[in-house]
Formats: sequence, structure tokens, C-alpha cells
Amino acid sequence: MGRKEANAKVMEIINGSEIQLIGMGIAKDVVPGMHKDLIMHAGPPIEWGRMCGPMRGAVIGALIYEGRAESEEAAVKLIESGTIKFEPNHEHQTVGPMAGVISPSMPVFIMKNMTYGNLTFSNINEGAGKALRFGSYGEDVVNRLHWIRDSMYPILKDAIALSGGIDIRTIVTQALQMGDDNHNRNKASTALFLRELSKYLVMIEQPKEEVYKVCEHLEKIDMFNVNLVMAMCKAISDAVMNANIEGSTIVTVMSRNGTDFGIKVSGTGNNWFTAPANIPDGLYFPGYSEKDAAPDIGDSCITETYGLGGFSLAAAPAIVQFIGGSYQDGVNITNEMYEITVAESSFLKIPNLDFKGSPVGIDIIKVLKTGIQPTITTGMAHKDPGVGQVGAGIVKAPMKCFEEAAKYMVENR
Amino acid sequence: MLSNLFQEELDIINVGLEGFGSDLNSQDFKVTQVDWRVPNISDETKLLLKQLSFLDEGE
Repeated sequence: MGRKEANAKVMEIINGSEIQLIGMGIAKDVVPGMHKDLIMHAGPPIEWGRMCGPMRGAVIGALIYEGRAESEEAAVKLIESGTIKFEPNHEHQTVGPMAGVISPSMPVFIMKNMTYGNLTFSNINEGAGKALRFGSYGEDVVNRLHWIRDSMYPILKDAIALSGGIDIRTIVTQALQMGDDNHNRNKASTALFLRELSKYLVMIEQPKEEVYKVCEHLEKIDMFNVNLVMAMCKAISDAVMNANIEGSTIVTVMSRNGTDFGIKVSGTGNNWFTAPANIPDGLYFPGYSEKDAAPDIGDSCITETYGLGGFSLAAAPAIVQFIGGSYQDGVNITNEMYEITVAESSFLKIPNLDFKGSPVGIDIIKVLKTGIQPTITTGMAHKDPGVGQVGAGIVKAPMKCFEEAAKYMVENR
Repeated sequence: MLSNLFQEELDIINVGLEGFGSDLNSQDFKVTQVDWRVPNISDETKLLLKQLSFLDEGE
């Protein structure tokens, strides 16, 4: 099969995947391969010794949350004993934003690709600023994680179960037309999700005061839905990977662990192609500067891999301003991404480009031929453990990842 | 043929260096600028692309 035919088959899967949120569960009960000593993380594989500050902070916080350690020192001692294992979320049908740390007793959303049957998972968004995913692990952070597990999770689980499944692809499609890039801005999609869920939230048998707090959490956290969008994209990604389409040059995964940026490519099996992660360029919260930022981190650029985020920036003028650009910058970035993709999305339509489908299907050949690197919108974490988010901006996927994938294809032809 | 061309209203597309377009623009010609640059790719990448041409076989 030639490259164009192989890539067309990949696009059939990308455009044809219907995705629904079908439930929730505790990671150790539902995530394949999760066990009591496993901490999953964002990006390609990495060991403790090479982890960046925010990922180390998130791992420490997760061990305190799990009751495996009472302090930072105890957590580090446990890690250095070799008891704790680290594996990428992506190897467990899972994705998580920023540090992406998911431990055994954390609740996860369960997403299903209704067309191809595969399941994916993502954790619950805690909110902005001091949060585990940005490397914070203070008492307030751990307490909120416990509230999420003990109070929020049972309520969301019951409401989602009562709904019979929520069509996340339709929510993302509508949100794109309401100003979300669906990576760094999820204000519309979170509102649409809450609207969809509200009639079930009032029907479930749970304490009214706790349901109120859950609604308040969703109301205050504009980024709540990014985890669901990511799991949706992962459900498409895994369907493409499972199809194992030889000869395809389309990127199926982009992800970073704060040290390395990694990609996977459709025609190359389950291999990671990595390069050092770049530092994002953007706006910092008061009191912080580029000296404080950690390198690019998180599974969230799975959204760019499927035509959202930086690839749909033309649809999201508000987020362009938030990351320090102009409306035209957003249009220019989206237009540039058409140069490195093989198709326009059949369902993600950008209103201010006359409802043109967003650029989707990153082709490593096109990236190498044009020298254009995929553009990603992202949050920025402090480089040290325990501090949290310091800003938001844009970042480029390193060219070396695409070169390494190409070399692999040449050497394994 | 060429003399007829310049008697009609021209729709001009200028690709790459903006100077050519702005010169015509200053003479009241309507010019659409296309932002294009020669791809900045290394000799190693060019070789890789050549080696990957086997993927296009059978099309």
C-alpha cells in the first residue's frame, strides 16, 4: 500500500470515530496494567532520576495522596528504594494533562470509541494554579484530591451512568464554534458538559450540598473539560494504532514529560521518537518569568495531534490574547498547520475560516519537507517541584522527533 | 498577446519577497502577497526524504 492510500485509511478512522464518555472508575480497577506500586505519568518513558521538577512534585504528591508516604522526604526514600514503578499513561490507554501523574486510587473517566470499540481513560481536572499536575503537593492540593475521590467522583459517576453515555465529540465540535481551541481554552466545552449533565445531577441519590459543590467546581474551572477532550483524542489515536496501517506517515501521538518530547507514528508500531522538550513562549503570571518555567510537559498535545489546540487557534481569539498574541497570529498558525497535515477535519469546522475543517493528520514527510514544526498551545509549570503553574503560551514540537521517526522507517523498510 | 494583457485589469499574486509586490502596489496595482520561504531543511533531511520515497511506490 502506498503512503497516500495508507494515510487515507488513517483519516477514515480519525474522521469516522464517534466518541462517548461511558462511565468512571478507580484507576486500579479499570485501567489495564495499573497496580498498587505503579505511578503513571505524561509523555514518553522516564525514570525518577531524569524527571523535571513539576513531575517529581506530582509523584511526591501522589504518594502522599495514596498514603504511601507522609512527607516529601519519605516519598523520595520510597521511590529511591525501587518499589515504585513509572510508566507512561499512553502505554495504558490513558492520558493526563501537564505532569499527568495518575496513581492507583485516583478516579478516572472512561471514554469509548463507539466506532472501533476501544476504551481510554483520563483523570479529573483539579483546577488552576497550585495543582498536582503542575507539581504542587501541599496539604491543600492533597486534600482537594481526596475530596475529588471521596465526594466528586461518586456524584459524577452516578450522573454519567444515568445519562447512558455523553457524546463528547459533539460537545467538542460545538465548543470549537464557541471560541474554544479545546486545549488551552475549554470554557465553552465545560459549560456544554455541565449543561448535558445537569438534568442527571438533579436526579441522582446523593447529598444535595455535595452535588452543589461539584457544580461549583465545574463552574469555576474553565479547563475541566480538557481531560475529556484528551481522552477523546486518545480514543481516536488508539484506534489508529490498533489498525496498524503499514506505510502510513501520520503522527498518532505527541506528548512530553517535561524532559523529553515524544511522538509515535502510525506506520512504525509502538515506538517513541524523542528529543529534548522545548521551553514554551508566552505570558507569565505576575512575579514569574521565563527563568521560572519548566520545559514543555503533558499528554495534552494529543489535542493538536487531532486538529485541536494550536491547529484550531483561528477559532479561539480569546486564548490567543491569553497567551500573548493577536487574532491574526491565531489565523496564521492554523493556516501554517494545513501545510503539514493531509486533510481537513470532517467535523471540526472553524467558523472564521468560512467553516473550513481544521488541519488534521500530521504527516512526518510534510513536516520534514517544509521545516514547519507543529504548534502547540500549553500551560507552563514552574521548574521546581511544589510551586505550580506560572503561565501559558505556545511551543513547537522538536524537529528531531520527526527525523528520528523517518530514520526508523528507512532502517526498517 | 502580451500588450493586450497589460491593457486589462491585473490580479497579481506575489510569492515570497515582498519588495516586488510593494513596488507594483505603489503603482496602484492590486497585489495579493503569499508568505512563502524556501524550506530551511538540512542536507541530512533531504537525504532522508529521498530514502523515504519507497513509501510512495505502488501509487
